[in-house]
Amino acid sequence: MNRDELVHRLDLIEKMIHESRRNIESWGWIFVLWGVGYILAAGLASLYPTHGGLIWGLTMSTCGVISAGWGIRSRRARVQHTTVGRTIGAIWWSFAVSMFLAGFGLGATQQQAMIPLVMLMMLGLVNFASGLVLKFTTQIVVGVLWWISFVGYLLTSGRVAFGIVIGMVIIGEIFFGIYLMVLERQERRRGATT
Amino acid sequence: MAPLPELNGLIHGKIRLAILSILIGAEEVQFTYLRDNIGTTDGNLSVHLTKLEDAGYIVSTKSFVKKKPMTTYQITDQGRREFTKYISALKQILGE
Repeated sequence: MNRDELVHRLDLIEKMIHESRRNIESWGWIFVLWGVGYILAAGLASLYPTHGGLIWGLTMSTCGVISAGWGIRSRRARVQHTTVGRTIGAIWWSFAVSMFLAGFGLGATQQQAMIPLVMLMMLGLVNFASGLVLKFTTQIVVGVLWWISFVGYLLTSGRVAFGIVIGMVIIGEIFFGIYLMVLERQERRRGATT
Repeated sequence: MAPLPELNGLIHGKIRLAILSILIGAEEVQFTYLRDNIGTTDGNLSVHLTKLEDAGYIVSTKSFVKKKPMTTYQITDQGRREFTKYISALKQILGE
């Protein structure tokens, strides 16, 4: 067996390991969905303040059902399962359940003002943790930005605090989601040509 | 000078090496994923999978999804150990 053949074996191992870890699933649009959903709910709730609870409940539940449905469907359709994929899934499912409990509990006890605070902190946690697991610097930065806006929200009030939340939703959900969609599209194209 | 190590003949075959490399990277994969990524026929892949399974390097699980049979494969601890040994031997031979 000559050296070239052995080197070829090493290249084959690297290529196959890389291929098995490649993620070609689409999650970017879920971020966009939540961002748009949040802004839509905030806009409608300010137009119809007496129906605020109903508007928030309906919008967030709809986004939740769509996201959960997509998550379950993606898991079923997945042809390879990795530890990293399972870890990310566990992080986001835990976040979803915790956020639902926080939203429901704080809403039911008339502490709605606390909900954005909890949301900003939890989104910081979930994005930062995902970024670390995936070694994805952009998502780590997004996580830090959520935490910074958490502090901003704590230190301000009224329209400024509201503006901080909306601004962060646009950056951390809509812009980041679109960025992810672009990356996913590039990854799919690369996959189709290799 | 120490003698160069032997390469495990069962792992060294291109297709079997590709199978184990994929299974090292992913926890569990479907037959179709292996076939599409390795670029071989169903029959040929089945022969190599059986050899690896008989050696205890991988395990298969058969199930039904929407009434269609689905087979998934996982690497065993023994398979992982042998694969690691193979890489070490390969690197030693190449002097890396």
